[in-house]
Amino acid sequence: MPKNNNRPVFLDLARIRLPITALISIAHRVAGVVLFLSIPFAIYLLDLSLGGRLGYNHVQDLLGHARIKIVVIIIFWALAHHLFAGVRVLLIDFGVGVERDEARRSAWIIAIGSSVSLLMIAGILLW
Amino acid sequence: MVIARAHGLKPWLAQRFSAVYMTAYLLFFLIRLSIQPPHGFSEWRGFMTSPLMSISTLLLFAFLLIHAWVGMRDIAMDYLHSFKVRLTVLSLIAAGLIAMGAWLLLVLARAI
Repeated sequence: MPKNNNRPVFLDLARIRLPITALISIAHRVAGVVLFLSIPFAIYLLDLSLGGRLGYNHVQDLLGHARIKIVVIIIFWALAHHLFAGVRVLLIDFGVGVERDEARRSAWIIAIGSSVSLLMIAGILLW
Repeated sequence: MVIARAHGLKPWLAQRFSAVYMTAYLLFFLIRLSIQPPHGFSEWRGFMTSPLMSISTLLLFAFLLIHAWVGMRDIAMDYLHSFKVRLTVLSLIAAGLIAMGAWLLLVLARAI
């Protein structure tokens, strides 16, 4: 394939301007990896909570710690974003919102929805 | 050496189907727990080990592990171009997912 060496190459992260759809997609991936890494912790907590009264109380103590709460907030935020962005992908698979303007609008809705869900999750867990 | 060709349709369908199931489980779980939050250990255990919930949870993790496998495999195929590195990383992920599945089976079997 002939190479066009005159194409501009922007590898400077500060100069790259990605459309909102791309940012939503990258965040979908990152959130997916976060969720993958959190599976063992979920199984561990389920094991403790079902193992006996002591374990159940231990889980409640653990979830009361500020540092663990922050981790839990991040995991639930990742879950919310991954879920919203996934529903958007499913709708696009069914032909809903494929056009560029619609896709950008739905991406903005996801961005706002994720931000609102972060506030809600933090609100529920911290108050 | 025979290398399995990466056909795209089956993993694509598995990703979508598992996503729909997990969303349904999550909605049911959140609604049920907010309407009737379990008070204390025995109510929580009774809820999670009921036939409906233990089977649904088992299915949830089966779909979750498949979903995670397809997702991590897609990421590995996008960013890891060296065959050896990709094979190593994917083997570790597969081993991890199988171990998590076995662990969950043990957890549920012990609790019931």
